Amino acid sequence: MALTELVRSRTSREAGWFLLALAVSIVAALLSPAWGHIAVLALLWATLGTAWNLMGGLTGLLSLGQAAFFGVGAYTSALLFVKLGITPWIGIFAAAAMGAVLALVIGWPTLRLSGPYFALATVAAPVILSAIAVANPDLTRGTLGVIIPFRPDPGTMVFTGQLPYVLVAAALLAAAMAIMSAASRGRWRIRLTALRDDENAARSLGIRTARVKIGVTVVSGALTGMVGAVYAQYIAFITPTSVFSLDISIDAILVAVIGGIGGVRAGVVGGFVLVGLRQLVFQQFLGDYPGLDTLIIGSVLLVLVLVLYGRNGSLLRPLRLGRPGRRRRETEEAA
Amino acid sequence: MTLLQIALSGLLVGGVYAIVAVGISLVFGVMRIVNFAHGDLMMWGMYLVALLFGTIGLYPYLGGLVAGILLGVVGWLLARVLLNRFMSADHSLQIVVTLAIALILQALARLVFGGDRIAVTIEPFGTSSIAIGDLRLSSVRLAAFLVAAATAVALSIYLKRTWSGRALRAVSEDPGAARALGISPERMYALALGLGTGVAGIGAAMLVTIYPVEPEIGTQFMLISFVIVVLGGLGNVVGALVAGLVVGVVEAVTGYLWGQSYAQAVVFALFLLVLVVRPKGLFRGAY
Repeated sequence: MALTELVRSRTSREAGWFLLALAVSIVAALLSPAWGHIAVLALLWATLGTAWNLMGGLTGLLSLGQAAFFGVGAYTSALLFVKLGITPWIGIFAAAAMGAVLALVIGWPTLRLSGPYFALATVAAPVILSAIAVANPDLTRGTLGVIIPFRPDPGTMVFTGQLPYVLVAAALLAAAMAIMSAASRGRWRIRLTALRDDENAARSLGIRTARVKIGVTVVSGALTGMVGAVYAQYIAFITPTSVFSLDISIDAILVAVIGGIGGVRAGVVGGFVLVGLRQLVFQQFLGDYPGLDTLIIGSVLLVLVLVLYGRNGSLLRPLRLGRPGRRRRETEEAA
Repeated sequence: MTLLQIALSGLLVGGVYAIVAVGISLVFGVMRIVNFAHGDLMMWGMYLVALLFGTIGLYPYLGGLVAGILLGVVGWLLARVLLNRFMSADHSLQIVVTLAIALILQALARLVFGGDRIAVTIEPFGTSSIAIGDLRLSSVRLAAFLVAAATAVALSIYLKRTWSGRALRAVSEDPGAARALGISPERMYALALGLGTGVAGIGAAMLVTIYPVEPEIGTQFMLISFVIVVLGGLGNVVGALVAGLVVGVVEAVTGYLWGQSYAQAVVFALFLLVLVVRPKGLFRGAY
């Protein structure tokens, strides 16, 4: 009985964070285009971070190449729309499929690498894809990029205001948070955390580690591909350097680390803090102080890492803010 | 003939890459940390050399010594103040710490220097080249190549022949055992990072005579350095030099045959292939 209550309260807490993000975003979109812009990007980045968190936070796979999925998703949906006239409402699922396929292709050989080697391998993927996009101008227009023509039509996911994009991005975030929530409880939580903490031990307990890792990467890749597709549709202009950039990969990590590694609400917190800060600095100074936003974000990251994560010597163990007493008692009881 | 010329130019570019990669490799070898801030530290070195040249006319190759010493001290301090706290932490946390340093360094450069690119042309051989038969070698690139080779060889000799070099290797193999023998791993970590970033300072002087400086240049060189460091074996200093040359030639030749953007794809695909087939690098042994 107590257990069902716990589950219920947890689910409602997670739903609460989502609804808060949705409410804030809708209000922002109604307020002004500038605020609406922040809201759309924050929701997209929240999903980006949640997808990273599934790999990096829950499963311990430090991906530095989320831009590969993001860019492939963006190009898939945008090219299907521009070249073949296929509506992005379908394109977004094609983007998910391409993200998943890419995750298989990248993941199959690299997931057996451990420690920093896996991280380094993931760095390469977006660079290769970006070079391919540049090298095939017939398909992608190369460095000129792909432009989504502005002809407002709900049927092709081209809207005039920000509110519709808020709703689309929020739907994506809801899916990501639901997956994250499911993966961080019950059997899946045990599988993933066992894998994260000690891969050999996990395997000896009968967890098919290779399969689980591939599965998590595929889900993360598909979600990130969809984020890329919606981003392309919203910004209406993508280039190889804008969607395959290392900055996107780093942003995914920043969102998760700022919001709290492995947590379901991390995307919401990190996405709104990161995007909000960046856009506010931009709108305040209009580029008078280039790099100021990154300076603030980098410093916040450093402080977080020093003060919070540094304490348990790991990025991956969940943070327990303000409850160290309870944890100590648990370990003492166990001992 | 043209292909030979292309390959030779690639070899020289590879030498430049190697300068950047050697430092990353050394730091990883001893500290087991992939230093994502390496490229941005080097970028600051490039600005320093360029400004010293622009204001007081200090010759870049001398400026490189100043930058090398200064960056060495910065690296030593970084280890002492920051990274030594994370030596027992997991890889993810270490990578995020160096990422944070990289973000801050790059943001500061953007704040201080804006988007300005600073190019340094040095006389007498700014844009001149040396002819050997029909082959032409750019002077500044040849200089960079020679300095890179000398630096890597000197580092390798230092690691093999001197007491502190051996101590560095001891820590890299087993910090606990090294400590039992009276070597302080913390000091060696600081020494390794100081050396690694110091080399980046020297490399900065070579680079600034070839490429204009901008805040983002560190990231570009860091990405290609990762490729080189992995090909040469993480932690293998001479391996990094050889791998740098290999990457330079492969990039130049594929670029000539199939176009520049494919060259990048080929280099990074090669990187993935080596990571998967031989994650410990192409060469046996360390240092």
